[in-house]
Amino acid sequence: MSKKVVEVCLGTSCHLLGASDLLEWLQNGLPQPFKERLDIRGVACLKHCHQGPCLRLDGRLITGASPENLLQELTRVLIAGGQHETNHI
Amino acid sequence: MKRIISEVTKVKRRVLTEVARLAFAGNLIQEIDKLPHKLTEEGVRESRCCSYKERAVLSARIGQAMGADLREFNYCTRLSDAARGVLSGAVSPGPGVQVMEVACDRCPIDKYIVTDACRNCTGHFCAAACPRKAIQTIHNKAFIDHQKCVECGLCSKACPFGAILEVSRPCERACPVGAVRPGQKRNAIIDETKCVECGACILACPFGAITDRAQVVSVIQSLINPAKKVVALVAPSLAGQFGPLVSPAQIRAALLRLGFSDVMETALGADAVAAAEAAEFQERLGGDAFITSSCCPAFVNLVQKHFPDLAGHLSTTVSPMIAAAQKIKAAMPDTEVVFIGPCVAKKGEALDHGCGLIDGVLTFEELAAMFVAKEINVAEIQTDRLWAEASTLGRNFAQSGGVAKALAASLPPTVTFSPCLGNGLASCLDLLKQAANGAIEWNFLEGMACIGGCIGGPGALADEKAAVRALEKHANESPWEKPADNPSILGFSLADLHQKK
Repeated sequence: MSKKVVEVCLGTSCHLLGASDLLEWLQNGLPQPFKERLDIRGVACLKHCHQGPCLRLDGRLITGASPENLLQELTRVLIAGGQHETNHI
Repeated sequence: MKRIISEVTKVKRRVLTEVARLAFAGNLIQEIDKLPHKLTEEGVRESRCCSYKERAVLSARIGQAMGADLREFNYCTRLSDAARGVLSGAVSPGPGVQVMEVACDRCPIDKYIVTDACRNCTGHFCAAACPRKAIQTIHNKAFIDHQKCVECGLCSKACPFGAILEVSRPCERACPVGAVRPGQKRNAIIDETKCVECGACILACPFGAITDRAQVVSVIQSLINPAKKVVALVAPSLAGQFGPLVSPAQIRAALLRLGFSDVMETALGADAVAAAEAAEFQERLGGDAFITSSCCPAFVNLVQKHFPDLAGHLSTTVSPMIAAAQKIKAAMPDTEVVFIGPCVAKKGEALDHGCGLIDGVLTFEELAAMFVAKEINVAEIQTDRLWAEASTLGRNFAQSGGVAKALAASLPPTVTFSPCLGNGLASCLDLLKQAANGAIEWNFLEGMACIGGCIGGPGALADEKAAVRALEKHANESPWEKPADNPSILGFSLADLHQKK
């Protein structure tokens, strides 16, 4: 099964709002069955600096990310087959 | 779950960014009164009772971000008046760590509370356990008479239902020296005679009601003044503070872009301090049973305020910040020096022992807010410049054990050097108590008030584990291992690196 790409924005603006802590959480705090199906990367900017912390999950931008809403999104993408209902949360 | 920054930290950082943005644009006085309303309109909320209270708390946060004295700050203070005061330099120095009265939620004071889980059992183990007969049964429930209660906790331990809860204020619990206590209005009060300005309570308060004073506005005022040259003196703990993609060289380039005329490593001062302190150690060891390090200002405050009898054991060597600033000011007397680090207590040290050498102190958090305000993304800066002014061991001053290691490497092998590490304020307190009783087996005490050393400081941005990895990489990139290998320390006169008595 191909891995889903998660790109965490590590620009200064997102970093100030906790993006690096989110990256650390994705790398070390996720349950193993989730983690092994993800390709987690850091990127320098996702160009949504006013809405951080931002990340892109399977090509889709998530703004104002937190462990709570990420867990919900990851469950949808990895377990429910990843149908896109909306373009934005 | 890993440490994820709280909503209150986000609000604080958002406020810092907006204040910095206005200061850079030069329209602080004109725009600042509108900021609380603008922020609530943009959805900045911290679950207070109503939007009026939200704005009152935001106003206090804005005052803090500007560097106003919060003791003189109340609901009638106009932010533009406070901004005028800050911009004209008419701000009283005041205590470094302050409580924002409006933001303090006046948490419960009583340490033991009987909860609804109490079943008024026949056993009455709680009343039997109480040495002060402070527990009676009222309305079918155990009742603690707080006039009699001595907060020993025996009732809580005795209850088979776990119905008696121990509650303590997070700010009080975070303070090992007992400087935070409830005031007459039940709001938290900081006793300046006890406070060592470590900043632990700032991180501990879930309402974000305790704060240091930011100097963002006054530093920006100097940066945007073309007539002034401002040098950034950065602490070695900067490695990793701006995210895993950012190298120290990129941070240096970003500082120059922000308006600093030059950037210097404080760790260069640390190299000189290691040499001076090693010489002092050899000189004093005959007479003194031990000496302590003096680079952590909160630790120095701890010794001076709580163990005045041991103050003679403090090393007289200045801190790396002061040593490096001396060097800059000697070469360029008209330059302003701004120290940037993870530390709150450095703000007080700059005022008390700075002797005009340090013109401003910023935390990494405040610096990041300034980068965001100026729309500088450090992660996108391209630089191939190598940056090396300090040795591996000098850079390692930023973590617990680093000072002792640098000293060991600076002493001849014939000298008996048995160091002991005070890692965090509570640990320093224990070791100083042992020293006061005379029962010690060490002859050097390295005191660091933050757990893990400076990288665990309240003004740090990075998670401590990530910061340790980044610091070690940064330290090992230096071309020199020991402080003595660094050719630049020849530029320091070791005899001048001592505090004047």
